[in-house]
Amino acid sequence: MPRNLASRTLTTLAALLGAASVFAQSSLFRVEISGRSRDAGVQAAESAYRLYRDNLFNLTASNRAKRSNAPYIMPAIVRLTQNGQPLATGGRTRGNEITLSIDSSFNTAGDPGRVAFMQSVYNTAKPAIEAVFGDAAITGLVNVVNADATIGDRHAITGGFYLPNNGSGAREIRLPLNASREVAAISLIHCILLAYLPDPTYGFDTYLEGLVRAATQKIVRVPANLPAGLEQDVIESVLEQTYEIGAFYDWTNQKSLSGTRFIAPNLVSTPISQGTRGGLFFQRYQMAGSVWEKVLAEHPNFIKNFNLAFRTNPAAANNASSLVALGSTVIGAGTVEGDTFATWVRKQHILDTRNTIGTKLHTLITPITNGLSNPDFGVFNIEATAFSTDANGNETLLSGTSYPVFWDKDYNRILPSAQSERIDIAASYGSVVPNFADENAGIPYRVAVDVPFQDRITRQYIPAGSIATPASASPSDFYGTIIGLLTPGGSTMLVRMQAGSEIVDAPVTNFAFGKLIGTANFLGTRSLIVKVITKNALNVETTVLTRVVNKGPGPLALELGAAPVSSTSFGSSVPAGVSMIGITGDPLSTALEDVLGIPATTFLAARYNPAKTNYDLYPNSGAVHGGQAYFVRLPGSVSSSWQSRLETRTAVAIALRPGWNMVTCPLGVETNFANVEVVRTTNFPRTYLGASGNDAGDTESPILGKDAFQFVQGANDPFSGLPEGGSYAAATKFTPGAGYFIRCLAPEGVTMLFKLASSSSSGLTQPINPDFVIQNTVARGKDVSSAFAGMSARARNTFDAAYDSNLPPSFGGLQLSIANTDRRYKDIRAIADTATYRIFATGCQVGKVYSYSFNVQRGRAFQIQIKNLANNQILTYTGTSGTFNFQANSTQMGFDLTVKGAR
Amino acid sequence: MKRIAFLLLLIVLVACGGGGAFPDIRIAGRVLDISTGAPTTVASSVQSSSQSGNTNVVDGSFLIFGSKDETSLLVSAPSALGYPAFTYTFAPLTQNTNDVGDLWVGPEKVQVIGQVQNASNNAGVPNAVVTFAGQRAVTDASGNFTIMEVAYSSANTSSFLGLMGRVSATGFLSNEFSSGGNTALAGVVNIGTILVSPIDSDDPPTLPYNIWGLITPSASAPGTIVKLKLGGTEVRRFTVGVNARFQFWVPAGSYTLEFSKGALTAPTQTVNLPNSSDVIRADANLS
Repeated sequence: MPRNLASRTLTTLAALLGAASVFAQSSLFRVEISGRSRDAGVQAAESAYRLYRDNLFNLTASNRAKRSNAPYIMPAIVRLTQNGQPLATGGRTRGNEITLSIDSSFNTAGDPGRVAFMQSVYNTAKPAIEAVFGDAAITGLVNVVNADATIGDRHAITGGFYLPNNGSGAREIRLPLNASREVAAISLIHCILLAYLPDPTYGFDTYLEGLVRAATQKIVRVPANLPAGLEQDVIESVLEQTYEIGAFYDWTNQKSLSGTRFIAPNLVSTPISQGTRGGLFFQRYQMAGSVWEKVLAEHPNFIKNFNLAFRTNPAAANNASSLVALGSTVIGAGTVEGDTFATWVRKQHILDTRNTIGTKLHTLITPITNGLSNPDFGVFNIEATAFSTDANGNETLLSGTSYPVFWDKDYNRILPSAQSERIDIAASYGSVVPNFADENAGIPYRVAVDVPFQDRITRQYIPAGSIATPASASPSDFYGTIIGLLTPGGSTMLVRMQAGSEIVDAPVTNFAFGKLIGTANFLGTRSLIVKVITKNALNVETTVLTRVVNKGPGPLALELGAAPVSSTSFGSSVPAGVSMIGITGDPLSTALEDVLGIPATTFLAARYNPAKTNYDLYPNSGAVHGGQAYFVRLPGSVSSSWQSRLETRTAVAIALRPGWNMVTCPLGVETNFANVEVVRTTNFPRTYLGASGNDAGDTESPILGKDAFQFVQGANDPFSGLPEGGSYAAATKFTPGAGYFIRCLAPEGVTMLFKLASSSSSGLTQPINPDFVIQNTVARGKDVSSAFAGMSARARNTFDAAYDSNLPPSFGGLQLSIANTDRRYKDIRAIADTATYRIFATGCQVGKVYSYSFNVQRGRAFQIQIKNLANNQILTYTGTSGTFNFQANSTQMGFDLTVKGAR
Repeated sequence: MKRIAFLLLLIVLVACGGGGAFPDIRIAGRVLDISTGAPTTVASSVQSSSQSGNTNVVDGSFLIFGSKDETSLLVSAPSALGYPAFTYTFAPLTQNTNDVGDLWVGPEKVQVIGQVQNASNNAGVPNAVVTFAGQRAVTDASGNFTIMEVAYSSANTSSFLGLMGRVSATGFLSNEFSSGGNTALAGVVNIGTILVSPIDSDDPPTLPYNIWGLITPSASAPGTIVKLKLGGTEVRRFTVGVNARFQFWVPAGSYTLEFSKGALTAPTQTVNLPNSSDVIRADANLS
């Protein structure tokens, strides 16, 4: 059957059944039925599940092609509704537990004992289910129905679904007939856990899916919890697919995971064709399992007690804060990975249930450990996922090009191969497989990976040579990188892993480490203590970092010291009225209200979108990220602090799109221009000064505007009583908390790297100084604005990015500019005997008196004339400075500045 | 002896360069299915003027030879899919190796139309090169463009909606665009206006705003006072300039707008702004 016809058939079937599916969550469907009949209800439910399963089959096609053949177990709950109201959970009978009634048709010629096996699965696992997940919230009979004829095992996607009310008052678990007993056992236990949940249940996928997946894996991993004869290897391979992220939690914990649902409504509720990638859903399922697995490592009874607490607080179902409060109550005085539960939750982006609008970027890094041959040293698969989310949670799978930038430990750019310097992203997905070469006789080293896409960027650190090389017999199972922790001269560094009484040291070289530990103790689900230790020449140890790490089964990858979470602020209070702020560090929250510490209804915020050549108004401007700047309008001054991954000890990058970008210094320290590098596509980095045409030693064309502009708040508006405008002034350095407008001239965009002063290897070598420069300033009280006119023997009268500077988007306050073919902040022309510059002061208040002053900063002039175009009054000066007053008779006042005999 | 043989071979190759029996450029790219966002599961064929090759089924990539200044490729999806063949045109390919990027195939062909405008003055930009889904077009004197043979799937638009195109025009900053959520009507996808900013004449947009409008007649507009009131109290005032435009950036609420310029006035308007992220337009006519 042609693929399109198949898709249409699904739609038609659903329509014929008269069932309207609403996907409240990715795997909890509400299906409206018109009559109370079991047949109609079950048919409608199965139709919805088939659509879900078939779409998952298509969504996972690309992932499955790259991984093992083990099936993806993706059970669901189908909730029948009538007139919009869910049918009450049926099948309640006396007793205090769930009783299964399993269809005899599960017995087949090939497996005549399947029914007995399934009952045995439940009977054997029941004590573990109750220990891990708690007892059933709703007791009674649950029919386990053989639905193989209508939702058959497709091998790739399986799992069945739980039906709290089948339309005639009974509860059902409808399952395909899985050929594999292992798969059948996991599916059944997963569905039983869904049936154990209260009604209504958790309103967020990260709770509903995550808790069930974490509990399922914990139960089925213990052989004694299942009937004898099952192959644990098969169970492990199934769990690896969709139940956990494995070693890579640190690398995968990114903001783009956040959201109410794992699969966007438009990607699960309409038939889609095979091969389409569904954004991030796959990593979300895995991370949701792993995140609760982390809690279980320290608090084995957490899920049981959390479910119990939830049953007595059903109103928390759709309230993230309430759910976190419940979790805090359950944990009590304890901690998770060394943090209180609430603090720990904020660090786990998969637990951020907020839907944010805009472009999202995620990178998944997987080391390649098989089939290596010389000269392989550090081979990694880097997969980028780019999508945008609209206000309804629907996701558009983006296409485009990313130019990843790889940095060595000293932030020198590494260019592994032409094939790995560009990621072509199609339908949200693209990948490269760089091989980082053996640079120093087999000694591992850290690589920082920046993947930019539009104005988003992800940074990850990977250890080249630490995991697997052709020379290593077995890959390391404990590996990672050190960020921002330095080794004093004469000292060495090591990472010490402590799992109970087991202690293993892994030496650190070039901020990378890797070790094959291989013990069952380490490879199990554990809470570890990991320390970074320096050791001096006398073998005296100093612990520079201690971290509690909860892990699931298997190897472990870590980023140690990466941007420690700390309290961050703007440095000084943000004033009332309109101002520009910069987000230093990367806030844990995606919401600007959490950064400002005031409700979203009380402030205005906007961020310029160069692709639209207009502003995106918050919250349409998307999730808050470090390195962004915003215009905000506050009703009163704000002195806020927020939790952020704030980096002060290593270089951090931001991405710029063509046009004006609102950005800031992402580092927590003031950064001089000389410590900023700019990378365009696959080119070598240039200094910021060179890239912006401020270094005569850089002869390439500028790729950034000459100036970075800051916003200077103006005087109070007479009607609102707050500053509603202001002006722009060129910045001289990048300060944390301040916002900047930077204009990118490169059509592909650029990556800007902010380096620490100590790591800077380049600075201004040949500053570009015009022969003559005159600063013009118009002022009234707090409203002050300047523009610069000048001449140079090497400048042109047309726009020259090496000399001239455009204004950023104006904001309506007082702003001085020089009219050429455009409005300029700096207008440096070819040297001439006489030159006239038309200067406009916009944003004047009519009737108010302003001062106009000029000051010759470089060179000399024989005569300077200033003509007020409003009254044609001409003032003539022969000195290097002067001041006069004028009264504004318009919001825009014009002046002609004539310079004679400049040299 | 080996060196002499190599030199002889080199002379032969140089003599044959630029055409004839030896193709002289390489053309690389990917062929992707707009229905899935992925490579076709069976190889597609790509044909230049001098060679035909197949795509790699794993990643959709191809590398074929072509003649110098090659300007088009013919791409055919596997016949089992029943897709039409797509002709992709380029500016003459002159490099030794030319990456033409992602070329999309699909069950349907649509036209993508729109207009490229100067962000400073909203004038149409002529001669801008617009690329989308591997196809390209050049804008006419009014800035309008029509991109032919764009791959499309009515049954599954998710890949199409995420495609990013690019506009390049001399004197302007390059800009990216998408279909903006627009899908095909009668074989045409109208993506509306794409704004590009002049490199040397950036006429920047004004402040963020959520209430705005134009005053007519435009000749009378400059100097018009626009008062914004909340609950009868004036909270903002705007003096209209030569662009006849006013704008405010205010919190959500129900506001009234008053317009006056000497003896000229316009009717007072009530403006409801349910959310501060909404944008409301309220034009006024002075009389």
